[in-house]
Amino acid sequence: MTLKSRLDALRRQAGVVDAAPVSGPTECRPGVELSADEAEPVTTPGAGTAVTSFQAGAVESEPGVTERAPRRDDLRLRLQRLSGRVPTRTRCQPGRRESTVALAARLGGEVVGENLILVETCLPLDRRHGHCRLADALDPLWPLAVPEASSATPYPHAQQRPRTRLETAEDVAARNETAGNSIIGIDTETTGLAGGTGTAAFMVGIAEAGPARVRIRQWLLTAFSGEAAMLAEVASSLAGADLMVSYNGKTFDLPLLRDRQRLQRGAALPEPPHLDLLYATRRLFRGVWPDCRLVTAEQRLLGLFRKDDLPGAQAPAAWRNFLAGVAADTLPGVVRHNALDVLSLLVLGPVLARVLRNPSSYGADAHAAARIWSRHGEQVRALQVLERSRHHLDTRGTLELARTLRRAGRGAEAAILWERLAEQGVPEAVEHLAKYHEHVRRDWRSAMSYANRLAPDPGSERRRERLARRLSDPQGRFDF
Amino acid sequence: MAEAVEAGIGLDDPVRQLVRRIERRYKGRITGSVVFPERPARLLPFPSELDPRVASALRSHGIRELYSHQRQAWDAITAGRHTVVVTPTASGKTLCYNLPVLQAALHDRAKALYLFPTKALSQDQVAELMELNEAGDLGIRAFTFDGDTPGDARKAVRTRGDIVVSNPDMLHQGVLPHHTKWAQFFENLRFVVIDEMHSYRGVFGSHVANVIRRLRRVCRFYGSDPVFVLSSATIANPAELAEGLIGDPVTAITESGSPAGERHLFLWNPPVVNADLGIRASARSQATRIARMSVRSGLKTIVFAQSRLMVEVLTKYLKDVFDGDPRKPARVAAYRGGYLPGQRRATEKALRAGNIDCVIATSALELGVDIGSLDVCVLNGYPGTIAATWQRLGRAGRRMRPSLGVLIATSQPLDQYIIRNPDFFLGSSPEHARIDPDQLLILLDHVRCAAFELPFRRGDRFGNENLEELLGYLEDNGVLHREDDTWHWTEDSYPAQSVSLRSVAEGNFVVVDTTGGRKDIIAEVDYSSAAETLYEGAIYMVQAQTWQIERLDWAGRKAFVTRTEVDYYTDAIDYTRLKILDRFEHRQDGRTETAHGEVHLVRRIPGYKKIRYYSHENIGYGNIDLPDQEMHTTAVWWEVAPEVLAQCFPTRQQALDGFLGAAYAMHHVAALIAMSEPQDIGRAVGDGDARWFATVGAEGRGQMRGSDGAEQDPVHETRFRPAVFLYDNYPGGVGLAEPLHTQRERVIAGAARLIRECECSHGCPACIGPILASDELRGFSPKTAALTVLAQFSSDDSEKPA
Repeated sequence: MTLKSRLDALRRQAGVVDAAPVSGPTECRPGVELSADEAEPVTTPGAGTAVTSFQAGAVESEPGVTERAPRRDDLRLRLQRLSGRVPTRTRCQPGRRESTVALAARLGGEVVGENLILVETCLPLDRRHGHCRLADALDPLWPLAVPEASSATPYPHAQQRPRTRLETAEDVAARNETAGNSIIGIDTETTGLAGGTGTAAFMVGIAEAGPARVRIRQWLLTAFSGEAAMLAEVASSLAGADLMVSYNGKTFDLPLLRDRQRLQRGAALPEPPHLDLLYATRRLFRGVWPDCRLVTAEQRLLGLFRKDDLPGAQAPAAWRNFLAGVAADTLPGVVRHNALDVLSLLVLGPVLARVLRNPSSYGADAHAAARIWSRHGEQVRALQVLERSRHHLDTRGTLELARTLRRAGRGAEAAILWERLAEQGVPEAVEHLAKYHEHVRRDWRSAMSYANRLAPDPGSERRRERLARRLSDPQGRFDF
Repeated sequence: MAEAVEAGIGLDDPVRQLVRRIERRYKGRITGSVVFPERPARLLPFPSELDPRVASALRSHGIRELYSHQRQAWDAITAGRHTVVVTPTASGKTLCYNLPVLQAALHDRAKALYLFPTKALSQDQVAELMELNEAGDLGIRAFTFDGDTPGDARKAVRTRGDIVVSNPDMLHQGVLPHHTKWAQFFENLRFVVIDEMHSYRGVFGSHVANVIRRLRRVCRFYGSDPVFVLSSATIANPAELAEGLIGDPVTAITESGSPAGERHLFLWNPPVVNADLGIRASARSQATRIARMSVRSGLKTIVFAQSRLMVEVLTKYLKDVFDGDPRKPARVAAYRGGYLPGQRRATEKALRAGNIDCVIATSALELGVDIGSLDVCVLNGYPGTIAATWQRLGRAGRRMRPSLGVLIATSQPLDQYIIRNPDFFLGSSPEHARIDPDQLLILLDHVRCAAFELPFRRGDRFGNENLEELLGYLEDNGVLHREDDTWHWTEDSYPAQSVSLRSVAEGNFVVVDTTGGRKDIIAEVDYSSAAETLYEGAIYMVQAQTWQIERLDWAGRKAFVTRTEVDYYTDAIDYTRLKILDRFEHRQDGRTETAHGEVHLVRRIPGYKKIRYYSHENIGYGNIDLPDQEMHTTAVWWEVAPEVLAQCFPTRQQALDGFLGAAYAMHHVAALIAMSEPQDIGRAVGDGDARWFATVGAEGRGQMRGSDGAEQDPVHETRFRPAVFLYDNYPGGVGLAEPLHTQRERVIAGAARLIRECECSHGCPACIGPILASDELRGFSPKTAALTVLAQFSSDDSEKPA
């Protein structure tokens, strides 16, 4: 059998009908004309659009098709045959890859290290972001920005500032976080979504809200050799931050950066207090929205509808194609996508804090909001939130409201809520009423009528026996 | 551990009584017997440098001295040498590695990784370590890390564990791809313990050797170079296997210093019940007989069976005898793979507590699962290897008390060969455990995984193929990206997820009981045995209770069953077609061609037989509609030229019967010669172009079937060129076919001897496979036909009929 016929037979067997011939020309396409829309670095107003078709002058070396070394064929054939697969892609053409300098120019960035581009963008605070403005990023984050399990206090000065008469604790916190405290939003674009040490970040975006403007810095690798320098830049940004805001960054972005830093044998990354907005979003909107992705939060809370956005899931392929010398026309889309992500992070935090104050007007779970307030010791606020949403509460929420009312010494109001629930046959409410009438109202008869509705278990049996004794001794001289 | 030998073992010992009774009553069935005298302990003092806290923990467990092998292990391991310890069951092998590990953990906070082939074993180990830890108040933290470890506990395991107990699959999928999270652990990793090393052979072993290559590569990244301590049951080549697994020279400690009681062993051949057909009573009937005698004598008994199906059948028969009264606790239990973990743990516990008198098990109990000691071990059939036989027999034998093992032959040729030649079995060394870590597909899988974990650089080594070519192949497939001298992972995937160490295809099947609207998972079945176990109509058994499979969701990996009471079980029919792709080596003369090369194989399970309990008669057939399974592998085959065939046989039908008979005998002899288990090698008869294949039909005759499975008449075949194939039963092959090609003359000569020396007249399951009574009326002897085929295969002219 000739080599070719063996190969053909194998490929037929492997079910390959129409793959490119194994030793034929490569699939690398010549540069594709960039549409102005895609190429425009939206986040760089005034920087001038540096659209370069990299066909024209940016190609580093001749676009020749390299012949594969013939000695490789034996092993290659064995592998193909055993695996029943024929490679559908061919080796990349590094010669066709756009140069770092050309790409930087096209993105409106600068080369800040070997194979490392920095795209820096400054935006005024009055710039619109959906129906919000970037200035919203300076609004208070309280009570979100108290990291639950962090020992570090993000606002060490909060208690020391004198309070004016009208200021609440949250106002103080808000003023502190914007005055002199640095809050950054961070998001990465990675070579894959699976995690593990083989997944690398090829882009890190960091947005920082200042008193006068928002600054976005985005580092983009044009080769793996730029990674160490990029991670060093990220480390110094983190070192200067008082709070870092992310979306799923606790589980994905930051562990990934730490893992890659360890692979580079670099010093451990600084760990500023970290607010991962995914957690609060999930608590408030799980079951309300179809999903809790950042894009959904942007649409529902910020009124931001992205146009021509490159979905984040396509970012890995965009960079892989760039490395392989296949058309790199999607990289500007990745830069833009990432910039919008980090801007949204800055604005979304304060908006979520607003949601917490008045959850029902956003369709959010008031019960969850109240629990966040209670956890930070804000019982009054928790009660307020529940009361304002009392007509939207489900059974669980109403029970919580009643519990909070009773704790606040407003047992009669709590009883009204329980009675309503008891009519619907909610057993917890019946039990609360039995307790309330026995211990607060000391109305044994009512207590007994509720106790009689409780399911038979040792606890309710004891209650009924006790109430029976009390009823036979209405003076309450019974000694317990 | 070293307390005085009990003095009172006399003639009235129940095991000795049972031995005498069997010798008296069944003399004719015993073809060989041997008594191993008791062996006293050989003891050595604790090493002087042993930490006093560890020493006192040992003393509080009644251990005042070490067995000689434990002391030797200490000396080798503490000197920094990779060490393999080969000792029998219950000889205190765990101390061999626990002592150096505890010592280093106490003195240097050194860490250790323990790998066990199964989760059950690792749980036993942690329990044992913790006992020692508490007894000596050592403050050592040992944690298991496996699929059951909850997410929030994992961080503590990574950062705080002194000893992490896991399995190779978890290391492969859960630890190495996340090694940066384990940095602290790897930096201080001093020992890697690999227990039950003998289970890492064949495909699994080849994978594990590559996982260890990856482990050592990651360790080098963190600047550590751990000492490997391996333990193994008896195999012929422990040092060689250990060296193959870890890729470095290893010191072997093979002399056990532990004591052993007197051990009796009988080789037992069931009596002939039909001399014409060479049919013997079933091994099953003999096994239940001996188990009954043993349990009635008050002895704790274990019966090993070859298949899960046979476990269920035997359990039913023994439960019918001993567990007739449902109000009493069960005395008989089954134990096999496929049961849920909770069920297995409960059986283990009941065994340790002595609440069960008889357990029927598959090889699942061959490993060191702690079930306490038993008195009598019955093997229902030769386990396939000498090593596994001794390993299973070792399950019987309490410290310094007599024990009995009985090996019962089935009518399989291998069993009959072993049982009729007791000296072969008693005199042979156990098998070699073979691995081929450089098998191309396996190696490539792990090069991918390794590249994900750390980028490869030019000049790196990984395995013994040309690494740069492999990296180049992955580069071409868009998996890796080369930058200067470094290959980086760029694919959007997690490669370890798609590589399974144990089987080639992914995904276990679950068996779901839907009786009365329930939805309970009652068992798991691995992919490789799913096709022949799970099909609509199949009877599925758990603890001898029967379910019928109503619906199979192949893609969703689910079988839905309902409870049923039937008096039969089901057995799948298997059709295999092969196509020759490439001849690596071949020898050809005018008559025959013998070759070794690559084949493409398609396996189909077209139907099943219903077999009645006890009588084992065939009471019906059913169809199975399952996707074909395909595999590329290596094979060795023998073909005979059509003209020659025409000269030797009056009809093609006779030739077909001859080929099938010869293949049957060759398969079993080949397993013996390759020192592998029979299921590692597959056999098929057919045309080398996959146009047709042959199978033994319901009436015991060869049938020719086309590629669509339809029966054909061999007379009409234009190209009647049958071949016998013996193939490596693993995708890609693990190197079994080549040695068979080099030793092809031994295969043919051995098969011819097996057939010629068989006592039957026309053929029987012990030589050419089962034939039916009507075969005497065929007008020719299938046995002679098989010998004629073998004579053609042989290049030695003396084998030719005159």
